[in-house]
Amino acid sequence: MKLFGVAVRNLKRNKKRTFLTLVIIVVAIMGMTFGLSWIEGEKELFLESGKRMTGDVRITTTDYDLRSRSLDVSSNINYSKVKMSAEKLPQDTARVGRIKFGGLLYWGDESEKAHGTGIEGRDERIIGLDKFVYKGRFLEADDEILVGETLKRKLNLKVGDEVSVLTQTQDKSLYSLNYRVSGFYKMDNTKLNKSFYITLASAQYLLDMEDRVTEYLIYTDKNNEDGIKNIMEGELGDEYLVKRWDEIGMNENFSRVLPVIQGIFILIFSTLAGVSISNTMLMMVFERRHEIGVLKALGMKEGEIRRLFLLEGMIMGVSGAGLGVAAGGTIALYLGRVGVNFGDMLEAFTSELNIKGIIYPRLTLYITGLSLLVGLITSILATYLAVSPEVEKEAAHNMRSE
Amino acid sequence: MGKTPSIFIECFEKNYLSFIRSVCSLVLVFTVTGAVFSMSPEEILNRVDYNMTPDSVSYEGEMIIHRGKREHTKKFIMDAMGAEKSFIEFTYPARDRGTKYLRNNKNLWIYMPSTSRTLKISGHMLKESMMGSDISYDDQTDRNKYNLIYEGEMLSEDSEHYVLELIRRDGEEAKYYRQLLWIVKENFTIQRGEMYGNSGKMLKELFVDEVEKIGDRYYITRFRIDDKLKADSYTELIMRDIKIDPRISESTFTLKNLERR
Repeated sequence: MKLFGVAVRNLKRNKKRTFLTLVIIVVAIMGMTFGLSWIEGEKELFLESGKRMTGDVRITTTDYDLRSRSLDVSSNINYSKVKMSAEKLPQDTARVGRIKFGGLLYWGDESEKAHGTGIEGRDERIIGLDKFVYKGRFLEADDEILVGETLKRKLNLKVGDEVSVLTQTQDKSLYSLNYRVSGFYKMDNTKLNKSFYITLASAQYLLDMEDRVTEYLIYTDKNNEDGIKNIMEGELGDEYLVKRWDEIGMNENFSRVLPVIQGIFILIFSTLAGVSISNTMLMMVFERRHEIGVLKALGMKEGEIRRLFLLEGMIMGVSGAGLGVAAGGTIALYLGRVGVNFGDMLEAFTSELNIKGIIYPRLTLYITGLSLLVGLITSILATYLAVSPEVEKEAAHNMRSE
Repeated sequence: MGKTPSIFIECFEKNYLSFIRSVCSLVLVFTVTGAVFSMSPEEILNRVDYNMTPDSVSYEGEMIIHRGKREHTKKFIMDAMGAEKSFIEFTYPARDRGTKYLRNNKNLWIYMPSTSRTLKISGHMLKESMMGSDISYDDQTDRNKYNLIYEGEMLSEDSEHYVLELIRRDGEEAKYYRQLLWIVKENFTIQRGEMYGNSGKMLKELFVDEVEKIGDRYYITRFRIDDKLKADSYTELIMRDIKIDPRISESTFTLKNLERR
């Protein structure tokens, strides 16, 4: 306790130096905390949001990945058969069939290319349309259409307008139907706003796909994707392709690459924070070489001097890292609530995943602990490495600052 | 120089008149067969064109589309005049009833009764599938004569068929770059055809199943087209109640008629 009091007094003695050292540690740890929260947010954006749109488990035809790029609906599955097979799954799973297709949306003489999706009622909450619809309402009838904000703007649409959807059926025959606009939605990814939703039953009629869907999605709150996949594979056989969310399209790439990227960033942020703190602590010890000599001349043992400096380093590390985590965490938590909109910048990456273009930094316990640990360990380690050679020298050498 | 054939000497010695008769018979046979052999690809195609592209035609068509195990039937009525004017109205199934196609020159308009909309299709879109069949808009509505847009060359012939290779003439806009046609000698109708794209890839294959003599023409009344780019897919087309050179009003081939409900 006596040594602790001396250490605190020492730190107070040169307030300017102590303050500057603390600022360096705080800034380094703040950067690390926020940076890692950002990466975690990106991971969440790419993986979790993608998972919401692809389902935890997705069932399609075997050639769907290839054909769906050209929005070829001839790659489709028997809805009733898959639905019946899915009855064997636990009751707490949510299941929806969807049809994704391409077409032209006509209003008067104007037309726009757009992606369309035929959805079931329960998809309103799964896709998040209950939040994204800003005018009008969700689909209530088969002759209604929900239109994205970009399409609304380009075609100058109003709720209640009757638009025509022209598309190619599964047999490549042109067909069109009229729909009344029930509402408009706005998602954060502008590309997603150039799309529309109609009911699954209506899409099946429009595309001449009675009792067919292009994909059947299964959602679960529990981490039992593998179990669900195995059950469905056993039920459906080789004609169908059953995939876990992290085996689908860009989800697969991201789920493989993101942990590596995250690891690299942890290393970079830890090194940056560590080097900054070490540099500051080295300078602080270097400045006090004369003081070390005086303490030794006054009879203080090497171990005691080392402990005193380590204690000072630890106090600085704990308080700096604490303040840094608090500052970086506060920013991360704030931006985690409001989000950072990258809109069009992320569009190219996210359109395939069908997810939003907003990054919400995410502060986790792991990031908090890691940042505190890096701040503390690097402070103590740097102090130890700086002090040890000095305390081993003769007092006279220390006092002559050699 | 070789020896004089002994058969001639024998004939000469035995009966001079008989020899003259034999020579005349041989000359006659060679003349007749020579006349057939000498029929040029252009002449053959002229005969084919005469059979297949009368000045005007109308018929009821039945399209049977085969996709794997599935089979769809669509019915329509068609009026055509000249090389590039045709009007098609689908009558079956209920989903497609009232869908109309108007071809005029290089443009095609589609009227969709479900939305009361008319769409214009041109350029490469004409090569797209018509009503989900293996027959393209161009296949069904273009009535240009072979001789005008293709340069023919005789590849081979047997006792029943001429096999012609047709290459698109420079500057012409033909449906296919190259075609191989098996033409029946007896009536100058196509029995089989292979259609190739610019890349040399076979795009479609045609098999004629039935031909009917209407007036002095032999008209194909049932054929089958396989789209080689689609797996397990072919379309049969059956034509009934065929009228050759009927009087069709010019007003049939107008947008007003297309959009008439």
